[in-house]
Amino acid sequence: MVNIIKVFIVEDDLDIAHLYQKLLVISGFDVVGIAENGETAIKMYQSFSKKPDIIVMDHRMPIKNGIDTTVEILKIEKTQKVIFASADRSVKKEVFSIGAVDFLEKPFSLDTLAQCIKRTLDSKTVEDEQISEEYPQETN
Amino acid sequence: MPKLSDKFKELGIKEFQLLDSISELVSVQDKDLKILWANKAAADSIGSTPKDLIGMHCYEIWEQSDKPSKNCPVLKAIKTGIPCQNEMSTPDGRFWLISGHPIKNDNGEIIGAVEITIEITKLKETEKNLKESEEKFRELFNNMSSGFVIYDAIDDGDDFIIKDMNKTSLAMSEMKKRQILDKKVTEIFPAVKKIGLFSVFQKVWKTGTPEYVKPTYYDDKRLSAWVENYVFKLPSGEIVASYNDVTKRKEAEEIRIESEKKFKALFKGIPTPSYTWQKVNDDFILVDYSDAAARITQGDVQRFLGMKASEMYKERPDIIEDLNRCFEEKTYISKEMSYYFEVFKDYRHLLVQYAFIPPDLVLAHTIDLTEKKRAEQELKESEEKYRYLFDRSPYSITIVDVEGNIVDCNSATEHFLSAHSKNDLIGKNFKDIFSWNEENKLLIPIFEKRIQSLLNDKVLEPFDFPLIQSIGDKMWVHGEGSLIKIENEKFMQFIISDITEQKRAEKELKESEERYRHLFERSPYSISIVDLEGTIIDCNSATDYFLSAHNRNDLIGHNFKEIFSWNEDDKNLIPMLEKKIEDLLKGVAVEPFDFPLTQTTGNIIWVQAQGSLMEIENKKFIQFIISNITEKKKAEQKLKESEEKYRIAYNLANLYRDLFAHDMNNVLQNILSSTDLLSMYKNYPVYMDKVMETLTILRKQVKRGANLISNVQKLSQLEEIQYEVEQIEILSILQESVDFLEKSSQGRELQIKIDSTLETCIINGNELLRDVFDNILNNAVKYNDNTIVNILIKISKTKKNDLDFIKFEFIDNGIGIEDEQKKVIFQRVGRQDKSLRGMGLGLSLVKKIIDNYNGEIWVENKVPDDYSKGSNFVILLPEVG
Repeated sequence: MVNIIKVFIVEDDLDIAHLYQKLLVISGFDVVGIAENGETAIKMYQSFSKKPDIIVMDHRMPIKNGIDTTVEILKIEKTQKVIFASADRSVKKEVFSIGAVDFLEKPFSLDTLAQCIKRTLDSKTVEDEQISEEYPQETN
Repeated sequence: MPKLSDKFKELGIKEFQLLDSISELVSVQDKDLKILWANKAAADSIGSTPKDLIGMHCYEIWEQSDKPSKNCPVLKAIKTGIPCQNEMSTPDGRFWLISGHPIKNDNGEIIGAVEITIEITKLKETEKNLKESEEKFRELFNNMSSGFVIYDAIDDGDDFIIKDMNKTSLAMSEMKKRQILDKKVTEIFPAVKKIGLFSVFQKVWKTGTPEYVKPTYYDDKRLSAWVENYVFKLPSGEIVASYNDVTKRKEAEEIRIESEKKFKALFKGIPTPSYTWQKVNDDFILVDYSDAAARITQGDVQRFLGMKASEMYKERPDIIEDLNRCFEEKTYISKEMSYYFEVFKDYRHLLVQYAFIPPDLVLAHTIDLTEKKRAEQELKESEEKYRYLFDRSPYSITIVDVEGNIVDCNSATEHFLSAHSKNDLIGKNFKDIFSWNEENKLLIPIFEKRIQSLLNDKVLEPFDFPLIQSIGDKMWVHGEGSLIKIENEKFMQFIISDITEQKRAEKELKESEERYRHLFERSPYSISIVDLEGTIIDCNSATDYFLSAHNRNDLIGHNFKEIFSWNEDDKNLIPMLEKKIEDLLKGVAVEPFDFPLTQTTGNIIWVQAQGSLMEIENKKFIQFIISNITEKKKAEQKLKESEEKYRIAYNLANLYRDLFAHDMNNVLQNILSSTDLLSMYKNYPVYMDKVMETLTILRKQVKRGANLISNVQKLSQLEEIQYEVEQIEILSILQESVDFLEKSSQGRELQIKIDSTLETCIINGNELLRDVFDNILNNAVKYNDNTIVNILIKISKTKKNDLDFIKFEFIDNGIGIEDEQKKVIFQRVGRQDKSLRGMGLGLSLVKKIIDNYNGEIWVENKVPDDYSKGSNFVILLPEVG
């Protein structure tokens, strides 16, 4: 039985969150939840009986930003894979320093996101730096 | 015996011829004195012949009178019948002894007379001379200072009678002459025998040999005195006792003896060695010496006492010669000699003074000049040294007497006074020397005045003057004068040095100083020189302006603390300035520093001061140069403000760029994700209904992007230009915003209520107000998790700081804002504001617009202490009255 990859989306722009959700679901991922801000995200994460395989994390959010949220989540589960998906490229370095596995700068294609998730889970290594910062190529 | 007449006859001689041969004048006259006969001598006496005289009256001839003189002895003889004699004088000044002898006839009657006249003119003169001489001698006798008494011996020398005595003698006897004359000596001078004088009288009377009687003390109770007698015998047989009262002399002698003793003591005590030599035969014997002599010879001299000079000075005949010469010539001899002292086994240089002391002594007085000689030698060497210095000195040194005559000068003076040699100057008066040159003549009154001042006040201030050289060059010299004494005589010493170069340098310095003074004075900068205590020593006129002084006298001499206390605002500068001065003195580098100065007008000027340490004549001062930098400060301030503006603008630009980029990327993310989704949907017809939904998202995101661009543009404009404001009615704008929100928020249920106590409200604003309301209302919807979004808009009037405001409250039931966030949501701090939500630009734009209207905006909790129940955005806008 193939394990379906569980994705947790943390994104204050609900339009974007829902688009992610739709795209990921169509692509075969399981979206276990959407959180609109950091605090909600932490609460939800704590409530998950089974932790998601991947968290797609925005940075600029009300109440608690992505970095602070990630730090707390990693405190709860240090092996948690977090991929940042942010329009704020200035935090890219910091993101890696706190333990996130990848950084996707908005705007990026669904393909890019999907590959990034797969790659992260395949390599199982944080150091895998095969991150595409390019705009996604349309796949025919 | 034969008769005489017969004899005459025998000899042939007529009786009257006989009378012609005698020198006496003989004439025979009748009773009328008519001449009957005259001898040749009588005729010769008038240069006539005897014949011519006959018949003339005698008085006609000799007295040249027409009648006889009363005293005529011839007349008397005729009258009296007895011979008469008388002396008479004739008008020619001759004297005659005339005898008249009566001639009687046989009857005894007088018939005439014989006149015999002898010229006694010479006799008379002799007599007169004798008389005069006698008077002279008597006067002498009477006035002799010695007493003279003439005695006659009586009773064959048994006693002596006083015959005469002179005035001195009378005075000494204290008796009157009549009491004494013809009295016996033993009566008048009863003690005469006792003292042995009487026997001397007898001896002299007998022998005729004069005798001296030594002073003897005579005392007869009435008289007492020391007398000294000299007794001699006169040719006439009387004896004369000449005596002197020598009491005083005796007393003097006693005094002299006393004095001698004293002098002997004094002699002994003469501080310099002295030796007394007595002439004995052909030699001298040392008879005495002073105590000093004993001292210097350490007593050795004693063994020479009584020794002959010839023995003692075998090797020194010069000393014997000196002793002899002093004695022989009774003179005083002074000479220097070298003398070997056995005691010292050394030679000493002595000044020996020989003095003759009557009757037979020579005093040799010695002064040891050895030390003096040495000192003299040293003095001489020193004098030579000074003379050398004097001669070689580059300064002119001149010694001038009080009349202004040059007594001495050194060779440098020749150069100064254009003389060939010193000899041209010495002995000349300075006036003559200055007269060599017309221009130098002008110095004469100056010098006269200086000399006078030097003589009067004994001091002379140094003075400078120009001297014209013989070649016409002008030389500046510096003169110093002082009063000096040389052997108790006053002189003036002038030292003159060439200061031409110094003067030139001084002149240059002065010119330079004037130039700098000019610069100093004209400088727009305040330049002040301050001593270490902070007192202003000098400053230029610019300083007056800076320190609000009327003129620099208000500043010079005053301490800066005092000056900075004139104004309360400036007082606080004092500690800062003190610190600067302290640092300067420590050598700490003091950078130029700025501070504000309050002018008397109340204006504040900004100045920049620069301090530096300087030295004037080895004294430390601080120089402050203060410049007015008010304009610069203003420019700086403007620049700073401008910089600040641009910094803010830059930050804003960054912020906007960042926010814009972020939000726009989100928009693009939406679009990209939507297109991705659409691409997927196209392969799955089952999802066709979702396509429309996705396209709606696309449209929405495009609109969002457009809004974003619009906001950024507005914000940029707000920063760049002040938006014009006008009176606008605000409620209608609010209503428009509410209406728009309701239309655009599809899918959300909104309950928006406007609660206003006002019908209309006018504020100063513009179309941007719409953006304010849009943003706030959008946020209230956007950050709200409730199915029904509740927004209450309350509008009221309020007062703040006495100003009227219109208060807008937007109360929502959204997610609320934490207190920490409340502080920062309006701040435009860019990336620090990491948790701001996507909309980002919105609230900073709102804040900016409200600020622009002089209004205020803040956020509160809807329910106090619980932010999660929602927020209340409060806006105050000034009401237009």
